[in-house]
Amino acid sequence: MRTTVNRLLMGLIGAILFVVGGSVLVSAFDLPRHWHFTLPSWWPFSGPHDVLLTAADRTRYRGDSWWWPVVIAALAVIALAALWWLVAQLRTRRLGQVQVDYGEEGRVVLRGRALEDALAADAEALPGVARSGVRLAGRRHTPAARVSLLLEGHAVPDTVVTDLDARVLTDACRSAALDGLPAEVRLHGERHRGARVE
Amino acid sequence: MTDPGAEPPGTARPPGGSGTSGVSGPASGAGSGTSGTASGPASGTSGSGAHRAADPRDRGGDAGTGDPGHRDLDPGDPAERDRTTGGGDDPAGAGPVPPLNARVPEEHAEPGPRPGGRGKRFWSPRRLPALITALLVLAGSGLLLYDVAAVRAGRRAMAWRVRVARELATRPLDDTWVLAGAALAAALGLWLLVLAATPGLRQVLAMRPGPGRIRAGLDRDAAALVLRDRALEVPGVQSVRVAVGRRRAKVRAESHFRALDDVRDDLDSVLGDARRGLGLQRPPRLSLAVRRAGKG
Repeated sequence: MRTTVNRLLMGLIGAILFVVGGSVLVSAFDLPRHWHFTLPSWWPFSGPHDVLLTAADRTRYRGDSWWWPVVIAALAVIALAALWWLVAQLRTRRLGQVQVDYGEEGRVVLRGRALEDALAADAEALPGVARSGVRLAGRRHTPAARVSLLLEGHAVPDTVVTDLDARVLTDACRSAALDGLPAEVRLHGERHRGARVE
Repeated sequence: MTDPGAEPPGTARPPGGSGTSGVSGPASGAGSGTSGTASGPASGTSGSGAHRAADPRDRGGDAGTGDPGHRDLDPGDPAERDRTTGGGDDPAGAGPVPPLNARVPEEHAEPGPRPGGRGKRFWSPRRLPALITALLVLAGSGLLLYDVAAVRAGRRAMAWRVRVARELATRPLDDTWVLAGAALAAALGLWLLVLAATPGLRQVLAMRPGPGRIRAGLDRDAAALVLRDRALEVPGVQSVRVAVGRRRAKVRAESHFRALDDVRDDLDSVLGDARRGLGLQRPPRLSLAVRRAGKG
């Protein structure tokens, strides 16, 4: 979600900057004359001696009653959107609670931190895993895990992931009565000296 | 949905893959030079830093040493070799590969069947660039908003706004400052577009999806360490340097006893196993060079 928003907004701002900067450069170097093409009539600049924004253009709508409210509203919307975007980068979502429903018998609330610790401890018990860190994200009823594993020497990554899936995540789903625990796993390597067979 | 078990990994690559990752080099600020590297200085004989870069020129120096073991598997001009085997879009690696290269275990590439969809590439959330962009937009729009509102409330405009308005209306387009500003804006815009369109996280290799709802990625450094550890188990191997790129893993081993051909054959099969054990969606193809320790 955040990835998509970030990329859409960055693409939008990038496109605006690129188009504005590029169109100024095209007119400034008088490319239409050198490269023999004609610009459309709505092109904002007439040639290298034109200016970026004439006083007449700048004050064109100043007399209209709608102008200043619209300018202020647009600036406010942009500023608020930027603020929201900024805050979204700083926030790291972490699931505080996982809710387990037992139908008529009621429900149990599990602390997210407890489940994270349990998952990490189970993962570290797997062969080939030196350390592990787990973060829960998602929603209370449908949590998702982000797992980071530090591999020991002689670990087989394929096996580690299969084990993690078959033992750790499946066990967690069973004990927390979850339908499933989608997980994103990153495997890192631990720098160590190689052991050589003489 | 292609079954990864049905064909060698080279064919599973979508067209244009190389183009995308090529562009993302500058985006991730890392470039291809940062391929996962690990040197195995078990004997301490080899300098670790100088040979790390996955740069074909890097190999040029080695090729001329006249060592038969090295030349066999790594024939000819390195640049030429890159064109024949390293192009990456060559389906199933069936291009004009020098015959001895057939021993490089590309036929071992059969990944074990794992149900589920394709392992997709990891996409960076691009937090830091987004943060900086958001900060700049917020600062600019907030400042302008404040000043516009202040003028509406009957105060005088700030000096910078008067000055900017004057400069905008007087400086011609071919003024140096205008040109510099426009070039900067265009370059920044292009950079943002590249950041927005490329996945980044070139360090992470996507693993094959398993039966569960698990999505795994292996760091190139970790893959290099795994390959190095396995290679060091082969008798006769004194030290190994492994550089794992996104498409190719270069393994350079130094042997201090046994016939080089035997060592190479053992390395071939061991590394083929290890490569399958990485569980990658697109296992990098191996290029293996073995030479006698202490030469070159």
